[in-house]
Amino acid sequence: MITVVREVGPGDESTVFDLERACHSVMRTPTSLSYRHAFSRSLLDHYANPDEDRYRMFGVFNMGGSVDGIVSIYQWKDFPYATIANLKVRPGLINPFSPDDNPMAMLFRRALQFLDAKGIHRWYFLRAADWPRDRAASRFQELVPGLARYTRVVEMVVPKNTEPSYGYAWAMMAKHTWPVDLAIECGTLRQEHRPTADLMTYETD
Amino acid sequence: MSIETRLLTSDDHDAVMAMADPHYRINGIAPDHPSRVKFNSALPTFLDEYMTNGQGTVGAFADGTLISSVFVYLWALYPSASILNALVLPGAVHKFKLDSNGLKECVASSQDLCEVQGRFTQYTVHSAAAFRSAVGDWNRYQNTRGDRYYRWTDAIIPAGTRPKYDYQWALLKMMTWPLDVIIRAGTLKEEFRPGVAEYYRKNDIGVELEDVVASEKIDGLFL
Repeated sequence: MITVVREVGPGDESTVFDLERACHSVMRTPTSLSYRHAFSRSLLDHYANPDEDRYRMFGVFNMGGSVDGIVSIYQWKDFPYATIANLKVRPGLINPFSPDDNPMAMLFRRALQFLDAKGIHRWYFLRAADWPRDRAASRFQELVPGLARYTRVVEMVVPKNTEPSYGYAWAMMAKHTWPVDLAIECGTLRQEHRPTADLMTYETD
Repeated sequence: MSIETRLLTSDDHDAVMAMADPHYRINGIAPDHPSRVKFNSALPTFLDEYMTNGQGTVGAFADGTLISSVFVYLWALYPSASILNALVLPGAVHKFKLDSNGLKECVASSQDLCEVQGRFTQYTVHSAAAFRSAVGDWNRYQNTRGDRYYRWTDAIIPAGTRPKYDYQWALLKMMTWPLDVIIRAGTLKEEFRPGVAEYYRKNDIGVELEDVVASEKIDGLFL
């Protein structure tokens, strides 16, 4: 299967809406088509707008030109951090136990590559708290080797139907509560991969 | 020599100033540098044992004498904290002796305090020169709880320059410095985070604990 990973632009609206129509739930929560459409509209206004410097969206496009998956990256204004969010893949394209590449891994690889190029060494990612972290996670890490350069922690677990005490977490939750437990995961580039690694070498010489 | 730590109150003002005043230089900073003036004016607001505004000072006492202190500032909008303005009583200990100067106890207590308050990421600021030269000695003073944290160098700010981000500027007390400055950060490993570890234990979800690399045996002197 030949696919291309590239930035989503204003001309990709129709295929992104098509993807939204195919994804019936967000964070294992069923959503209405009108909600998904409105959400995508708002998403595209920011993330597919070339004038918005801090917003980027990448998509996996198949040979037919339609999008099989998207991911958005928001660069924080006040910190050298980013939020990786809105990771959506067309249902049926991921077998978590398969060694084959899949759109989700492609998108995550591209996101990490983008953050590296921007000098952003810390990212946040919101997911359902019971996202598997065993065999499937190991497989995912094999497909995204860049993840091994980060130390990853679940920064906080937000119980279902509750509002977190910190505004940044609330913003990541799209400012509404969710009927499932959520985990806010944070990846921090390990010291040995940072530009400041040279300094550390100097210290230990 | 037994060392005890506690949050300082306004009654400890003179004892803290006794640590600050005799220094001709602290980490290469002359006494007339604006940072010293800012320190003096900020001190009363940090001598608050109740940390009303998220600000407090942890002090270490040896035989009833204050020998070391650090400021702790709990960030309001993020689960983070700053540990700043470390002071050590001059002559309290020689750097090549193994006796503690109280600083590591101060840092350990500050980290406890931050963890209790849910601030699991902490930022510290150091003089780059002091950090480089003292790192070997500092290993002996290594915070005994340091391996609970993953640490990294967040930024290196060249002398006389303003950092790019506001939080770094705030950590630098909103002033440029006549020396290179390092901002270090540490984040508590997942297995030590109470809410997270308990959640995964309780729900019996297979958590693969971080295959964390051996923690760096490096910490630094504080600016």
